[in-house]
Amino acid sequence: MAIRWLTLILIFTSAVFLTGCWNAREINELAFVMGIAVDEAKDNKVKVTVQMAKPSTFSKSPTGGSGGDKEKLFWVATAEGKTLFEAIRNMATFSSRRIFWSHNKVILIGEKLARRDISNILDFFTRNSELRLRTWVVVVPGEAGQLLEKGPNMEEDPATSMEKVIAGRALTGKSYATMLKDFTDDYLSPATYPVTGKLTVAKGQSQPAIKLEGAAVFEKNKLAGWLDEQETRGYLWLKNTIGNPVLVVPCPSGGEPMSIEVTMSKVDFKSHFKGQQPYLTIMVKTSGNLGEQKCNIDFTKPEKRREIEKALETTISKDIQSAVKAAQQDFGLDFLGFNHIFHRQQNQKWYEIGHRWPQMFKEMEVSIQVDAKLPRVTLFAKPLESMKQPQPGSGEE
Amino acid sequence: MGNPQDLAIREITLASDDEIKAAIIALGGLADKDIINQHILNTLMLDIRFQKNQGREEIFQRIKKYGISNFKLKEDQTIDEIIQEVISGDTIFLLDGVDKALSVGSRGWKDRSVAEPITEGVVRGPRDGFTETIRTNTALIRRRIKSPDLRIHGVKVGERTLTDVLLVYLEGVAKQEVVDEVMHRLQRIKIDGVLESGYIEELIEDNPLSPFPQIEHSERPDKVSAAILEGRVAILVDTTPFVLIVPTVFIQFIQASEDYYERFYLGTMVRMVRIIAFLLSVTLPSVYIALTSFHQEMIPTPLALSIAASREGVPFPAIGEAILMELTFEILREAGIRLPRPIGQAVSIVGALVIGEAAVQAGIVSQAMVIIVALTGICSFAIPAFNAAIAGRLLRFPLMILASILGLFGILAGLSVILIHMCGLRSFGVNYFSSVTTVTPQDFKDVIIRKPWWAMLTRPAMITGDTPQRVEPGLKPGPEHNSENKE
Repeated sequence: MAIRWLTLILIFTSAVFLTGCWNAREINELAFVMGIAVDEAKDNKVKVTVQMAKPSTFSKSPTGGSGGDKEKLFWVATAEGKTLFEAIRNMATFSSRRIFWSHNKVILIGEKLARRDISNILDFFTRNSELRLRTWVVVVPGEAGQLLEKGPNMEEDPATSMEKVIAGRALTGKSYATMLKDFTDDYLSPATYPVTGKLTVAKGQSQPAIKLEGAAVFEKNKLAGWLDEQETRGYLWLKNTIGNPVLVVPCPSGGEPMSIEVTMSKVDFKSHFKGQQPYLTIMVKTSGNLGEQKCNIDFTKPEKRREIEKALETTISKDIQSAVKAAQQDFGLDFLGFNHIFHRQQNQKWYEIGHRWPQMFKEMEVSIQVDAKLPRVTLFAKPLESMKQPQPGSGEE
Repeated sequence: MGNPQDLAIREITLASDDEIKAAIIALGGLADKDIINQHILNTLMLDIRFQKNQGREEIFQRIKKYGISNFKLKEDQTIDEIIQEVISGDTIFLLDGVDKALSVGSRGWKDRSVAEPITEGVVRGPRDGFTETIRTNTALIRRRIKSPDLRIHGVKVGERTLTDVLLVYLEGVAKQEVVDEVMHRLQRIKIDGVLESGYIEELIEDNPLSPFPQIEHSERPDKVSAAILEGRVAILVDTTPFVLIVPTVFIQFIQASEDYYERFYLGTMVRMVRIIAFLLSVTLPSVYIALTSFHQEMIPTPLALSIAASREGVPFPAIGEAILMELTFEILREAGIRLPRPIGQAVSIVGALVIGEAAVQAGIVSQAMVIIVALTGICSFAIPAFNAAIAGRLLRFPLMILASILGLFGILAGLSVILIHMCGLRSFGVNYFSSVTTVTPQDFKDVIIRKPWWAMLTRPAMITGDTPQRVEPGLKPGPEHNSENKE
């Protein structure tokens, strides 16, 4: 028994030691990539800009770190190559540490390159085992690399602050972003047009800041164009991912606008055919809270409340219309995914008309029905201003 | 016996004219002087007078009947028996001309009084602990279990030490096969001496090479009594306060007697904490090594960066650092145990932290590693059973080496080996993991959770014999219901 064990242990340990530590690398021998930007360079080359964290300055030094030297917490390096992989490997020529990709947060794609071809980017980033598929992919108008230098204001490095900005996009509902896995899925799917976020530098800030606005629409491997904020919001409604944005709704009585925060939303589609013409009904159900208002209307009355709901419905409907219009007229691309709805709901017919879809889509009719509710009556206090005015007939109370 | 210096022989005369000689033999220190003086010498020399002409045998019998006022009195026939009795602390009465001896129970040596057990302190619960005297220990158990079914069987183990070893169990509750097996294994032992129950433990264990203890020990009478009530067998060994409990399953090592005295929520939570602590004490350093030198992608980014920052400038790889620090910690702990007071343990922790602090300042080890080592150490203190904690301490090192070579894969391989080994262990016919991987779900009531007493209806099925019922069902306190509504 003992000998058997001993032999086993010996075999095991020797096997273990013979392999050596081929894959071991200490954590402090790595350069953590936080964000990468890919741009087009001269001579058909690819320019890669990488922002890496500098751990030595990351830790809060116990001896009071607020000293004079404001050393940057990150390092931005650039390399070029004929292919993306080569460019990245070229970084090793000047990076003292092994470049480590697993903590990458964002992939920025420069507009020029995006308009030409992004297939090699997607291929490389999904093929590489070190990269996560949960990385955000965004497009940058102009040069992407320069965005990685824009000083972060709250976070330690620009890439982290980009990640947080993207994560907080549901608060405004004016922008969109996709992770690499979803982007690649859409890219690989024959009838889907990938849509992702657009990162720019915010204007009018005292310090340079990064802003996520609108969205970028791709036609296969090329950037087709941008969506503005209203179109993006319409797109979000249609994708059922609107989140909890604040909608600015005009006052029914013509006063100043009010803000309504969306708390719940649900979108359903109903497809028909009018003869050979496809026809789509979009049904939106939503509810919200009144967040701010300066309309001098007494909202406690149900019919007045209905007026606000009407106004909200119109606003949402306009948003969706703008997205549909952009898809049908500006782009002529079904990036809204209507083809999937018809494929699902009108399966038989789809096989007859599917091949004519791109043309049919541009001409199809779309009707939008919005059902908005403001259920929380208790929040319907009268506007603060109107309380100051003497109410007719309110008496002493 | 030779002529030992501590052997006291007092020759006396029973009749007035030196005719009837007698002697009293006892070992100084082991026999209680008061008993000898009061109950033997006093009566023999002052109260009873014998006639010259009385037969020696008659005198002997009269002394046996009237002369010695001691509860324990026995007639010995052979020299061997006499020697036995003397060595054990009894007093021997010899009468000239009679080939028999009387042994008078006078065992009474200086022993430690019943004190609070140092190794198993409680906040709530009885504070008496076993002593080195086996008689006191049986009394402590008897005081708790007054059932006439309590059985105490004795064996003498150790050819030179002749140590008393007692089996204590509840007839009808403990499995007879287990009792027989324990007895069989005890009788098998041929050894010159038994100085502590650890000797017995190692000689009757099922798998003597395993790092895991398969026999629980305790110096708390309440804990031992609880085990006896569950149907286990307690093995008391003279000259040590540590009582062995068999059969033992692994989960017993993370149970403390206090779990059963405090509210069951606390008992449950504390148990979960202990399980986590045990797992951490085994795996924490190795997981840290694996993550920092192989799987950096598994660490959340901010943590990865701060670990990288703290390792900046550290000359050793993570495994070197870890072994250095763990070794330092073990040395300090060992040193601390030998310090006179239990405070020594605290001193050693402080020492480790101070050394750790200095080492970090000097850039020899990283702060993260000091945290890991300190946490591991504290985790191993959180396990109530010292002997189980030792297993964790030992297994930590191979796991660390595996982690440094193969990463998480190595840890998994190591843990699998450990787990397979533990699943294969048995303690007196009971699987080591039987309360965790139980086929009888009701046994789970006392493993990770501690059910309240009114719900602990049965004894553990893997241990108890024919009488599983323990608590009457329906005892949950509450407003009175109609009895029909009760189950």
